[in-house]
Amino acid sequence: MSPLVAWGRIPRVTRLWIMLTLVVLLLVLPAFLHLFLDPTSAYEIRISRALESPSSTEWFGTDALGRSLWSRTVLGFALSVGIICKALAVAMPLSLILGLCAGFWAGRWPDHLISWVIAVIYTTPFFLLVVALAAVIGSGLTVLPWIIGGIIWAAPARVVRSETRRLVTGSFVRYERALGFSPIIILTRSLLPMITAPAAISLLYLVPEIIGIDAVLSLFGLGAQPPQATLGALIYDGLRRWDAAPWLSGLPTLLLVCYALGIYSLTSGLSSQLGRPRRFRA
Amino acid sequence: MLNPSGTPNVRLRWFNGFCASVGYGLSLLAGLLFLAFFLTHVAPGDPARIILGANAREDSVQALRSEMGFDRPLLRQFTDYSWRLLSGRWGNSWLARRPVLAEIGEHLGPTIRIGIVAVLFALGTAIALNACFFWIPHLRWIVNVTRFGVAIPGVVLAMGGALLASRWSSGLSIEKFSFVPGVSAGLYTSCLITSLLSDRLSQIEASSAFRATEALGFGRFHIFNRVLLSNARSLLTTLCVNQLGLIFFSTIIVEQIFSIRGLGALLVRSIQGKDLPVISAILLLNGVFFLVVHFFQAKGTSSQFREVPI
Amino acid sequence: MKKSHVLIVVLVAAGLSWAIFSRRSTPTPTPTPTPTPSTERSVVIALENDVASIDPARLQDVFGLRVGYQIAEGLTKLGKQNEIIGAVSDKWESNPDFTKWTFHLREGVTFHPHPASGGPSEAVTVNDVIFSFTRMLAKDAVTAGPLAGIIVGAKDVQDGKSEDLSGVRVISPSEVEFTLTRPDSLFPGRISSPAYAIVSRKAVEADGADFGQKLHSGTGPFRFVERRGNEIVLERFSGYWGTTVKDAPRQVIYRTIKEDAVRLAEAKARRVTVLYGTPALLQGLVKRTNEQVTLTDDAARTFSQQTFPIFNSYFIAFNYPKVNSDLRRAIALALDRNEVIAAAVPTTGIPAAGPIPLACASYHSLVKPSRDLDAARQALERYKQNSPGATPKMKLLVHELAQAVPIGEVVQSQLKPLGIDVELVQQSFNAVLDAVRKGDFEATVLGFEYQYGLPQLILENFYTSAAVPLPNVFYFKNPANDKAIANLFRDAPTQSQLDQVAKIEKDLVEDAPGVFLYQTSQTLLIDPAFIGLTCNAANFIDLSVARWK
Repeated sequence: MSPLVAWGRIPRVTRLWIMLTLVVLLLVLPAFLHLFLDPTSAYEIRISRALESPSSTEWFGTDALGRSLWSRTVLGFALSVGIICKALAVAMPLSLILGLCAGFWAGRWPDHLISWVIAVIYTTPFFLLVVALAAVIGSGLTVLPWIIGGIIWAAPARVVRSETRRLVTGSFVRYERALGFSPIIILTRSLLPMITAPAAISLLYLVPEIIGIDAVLSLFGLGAQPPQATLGALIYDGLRRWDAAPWLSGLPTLLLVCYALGIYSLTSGLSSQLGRPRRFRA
Repeated sequence: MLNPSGTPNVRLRWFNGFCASVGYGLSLLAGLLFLAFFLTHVAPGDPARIILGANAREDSVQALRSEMGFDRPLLRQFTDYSWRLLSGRWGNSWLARRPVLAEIGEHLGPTIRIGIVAVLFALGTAIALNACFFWIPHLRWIVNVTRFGVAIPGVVLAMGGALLASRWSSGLSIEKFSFVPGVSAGLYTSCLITSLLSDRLSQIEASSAFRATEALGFGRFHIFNRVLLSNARSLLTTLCVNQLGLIFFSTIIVEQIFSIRGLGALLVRSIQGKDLPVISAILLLNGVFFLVVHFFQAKGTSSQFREVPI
Repeated sequence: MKKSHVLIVVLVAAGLSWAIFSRRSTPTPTPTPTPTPSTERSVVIALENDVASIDPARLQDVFGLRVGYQIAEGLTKLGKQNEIIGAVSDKWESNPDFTKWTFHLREGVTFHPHPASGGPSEAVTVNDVIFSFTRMLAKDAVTAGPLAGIIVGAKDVQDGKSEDLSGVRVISPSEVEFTLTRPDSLFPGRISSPAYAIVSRKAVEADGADFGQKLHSGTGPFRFVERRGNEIVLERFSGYWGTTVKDAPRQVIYRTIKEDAVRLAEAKARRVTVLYGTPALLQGLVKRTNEQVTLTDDAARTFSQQTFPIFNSYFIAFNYPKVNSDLRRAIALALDRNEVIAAAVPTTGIPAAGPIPLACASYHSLVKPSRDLDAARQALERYKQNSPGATPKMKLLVHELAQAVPIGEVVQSQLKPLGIDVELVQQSFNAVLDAVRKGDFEATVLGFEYQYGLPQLILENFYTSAAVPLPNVFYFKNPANDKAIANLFRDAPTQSQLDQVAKIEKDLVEDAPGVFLYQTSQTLLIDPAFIGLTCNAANFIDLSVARWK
């Protein structure tokens, strides 16, 4: 049996879970990249070697203070991915719990309350909320994921809510209700597993947006504390020396593009696996 | 109840529904007001000091603080604040010392222009490319190229656009021409819409309804326009509305890179300078705008699939 | 096609055409290399950020000051050689103890023509002078600080208790007298900033909130025409009292281009005539050998350059009462200023251990910017003996301006070998300023861009107890120092007074309220076809003898 046929024989749901696991691994692994790196090389200032172009010893060249850009990029990549993962980890349970509640009790007060909060979040630009909240609560890498996660749950929660509503009116939930299962059991045992994948996918689509906020935060002096720098900050700062040293922003951008592209392609692959044939009338 | 039209229930239900929508909208507005107040008044930084500038002496700052009520309890400040805004007194910008609405009005034009160009560009390329795919199916690999656009950070896109524009557009002063900034702001959206629309269209093409239309011998244009686009319209509307926020976000980056004096630049300046009246006003106006957009979107896409008469 | 489709197409077409062509009514002023008469070719000066306002009472950024200098003038102003020269006033005298100053208005000084006056330009009157000073001392004027305590009655105007500035009165139709609360031998220098410019009462009252935004009327060499997008358009004022070269360009445009890379690209495309060099931008364009700045061969084909010392000073400010004096001194002695400069401003930095601008005419500083590691270790030992158990450490606030981040990073790496632990905390500039004002900080990196070239005024404004917390961000308090500085203003400025200043500066640096790191020169990149431009140490460009080749 060829591997392709074997893959085809795996049930669709299992295939989906395998792919989701792969995506999550790809998403999370870079956050630990810096563990394989000598941490001093990212911080050691060598003014005499400032702005060296990429070479065999310095793969990515050096920055204005003579620090190895390769080390800084890997470190910044790990930091950025760390922010993304933590933010997703905050947003995922929030969107699942709130979306499930809103969908299960659709039309009743939990739904009204949660939908109202989602609507308010939707009326305010994402970055404005992040910047303003960072100014109130304080910035820094520990707080930022909480702020971002506390805002981006709204979009997947809407997906979860509408999916739940669809499922709740379906026959199997009615059978379960008739058999006397408590709402908690129905929610956690039968609805949650069916909802998780669509929620995860709609969250993953937001990854480029979270990456974008990174660069804008450095515009306001929020974000990672120096001498650390996230990938977005490296790119934005590097653009200032675009003429003298294009590699300063070019190479980190390349890395970021590869990462975002990988995540995006896998997410689209996932969502097409998930896509059901729909009815059309002509 | 005497009712000449003879349909009391329909009228009443309509009226109730209208009241409910208005009430819901008002409650959202109240939430927005609270959010604006929270973000602008609880944030660290002394408003009186901002108004008087860094070099002002401490005693005059103290005097202004009590005069403007910044030392009152927060609840009292909130009621004062809401009342001021609701009664139309939006105040003066602390940095520019002009009425907030005049200041916003002056900065609004460029942002709207960029937004319009961005949305039109996104929709235009998405539909045009997908039409290409429909007529020439082996061009479909281009969809994979559009995924690149989704992956490139907006800052880099905008900077590339600005540098290209200043190198190759002699005499075309970049800040006067919204095309390059608009395209920079809309590229991400256009790539996203192109690939999602392509997915959607291939779903439709796989449906039996589509094959039936083809079998009935309708022309390609008719099929594309009436069957594919019509069925994808709600998706396009939803995507556009959902992307509007992101386009506004891109506008901020684009306005920074192209040094355009638009709403995004005003917002950045106001956040950096803690110009609270301007921040509140932008938050509220933006909120009202999205409330209206979402309201119409909800009305417009209430029926998921369109019945297309042939 | 259905009706709705037609409607959508029409709307889309209308939107698109509006979006693209709605600005066509404003003609593009872009200079092109076509042979136009040289006076008709506009000069475009690039600014790094937006100008909030050009109303003198609302000037709050250095970019506004740069533009404001061209449009409006005070009684006095800063000349090409950083000397105080007459502007609206041509001569002045004081009583023997420097508490009363009389300014004579220059004859023939007129305001720019303004819609409010309808006709031709109107002459400046003493009433305009009194009106302008009352306005700049009003409660919501941002630049009142340095004048508030010194003119009699200014305090009442600022607190809103009085509408009249009792300390300024008319003596004759061409003379105004200022009465001061204390002796000030340098009063003419104190009011030389563009922030203390004389404006037309009629214009201000007619324009309301639009003054300084859409309209303006001053007495400077250039007249405000309009503000469009990111540009401020000025036109040469034909009725200006000063002299200008015959074929000087008629129009000057200040254009904001925020990103360094874009600004450089625009200058290379010849759409920008004059460019203030920033550290990141200059790297790769200029090289420095023996304090001499020259363009690289590649850049020399595109630009000419001018480099001149300016009044800017960059330093680490300590919270004086909070940080131990031995620790402060240890840090001040341990830092290698040359490395800081190489990291932050490699092309334009000048090591300086004191706060007084080296660009001040005939001023000689007594402090040397040299590193003394042995003395630093001794100071650190003293610190450890006096506070047993304490580890030497410092929390340093940095922000997005003034090269604060690279400076902080270098300082951190330089102090580490000595065992001084530096924690960098980045916040937005305004948040840092807020922390400084509340005294809620240990140390921060700041840069002052002085408007004054007078060392006495700098000492008084930034290092006396009266100026705590701002602009004395250090919370520096020293009664002997206060007294010595006050004495400077009792005598006419002479060389011996400058020597006195140098002595005060030396004592100040020993006390280490901050570590003064470096000062800078400014490099202007200029279109080689544009010649004769000069610039003073406050970064104000003088275009009176500049012209196109």
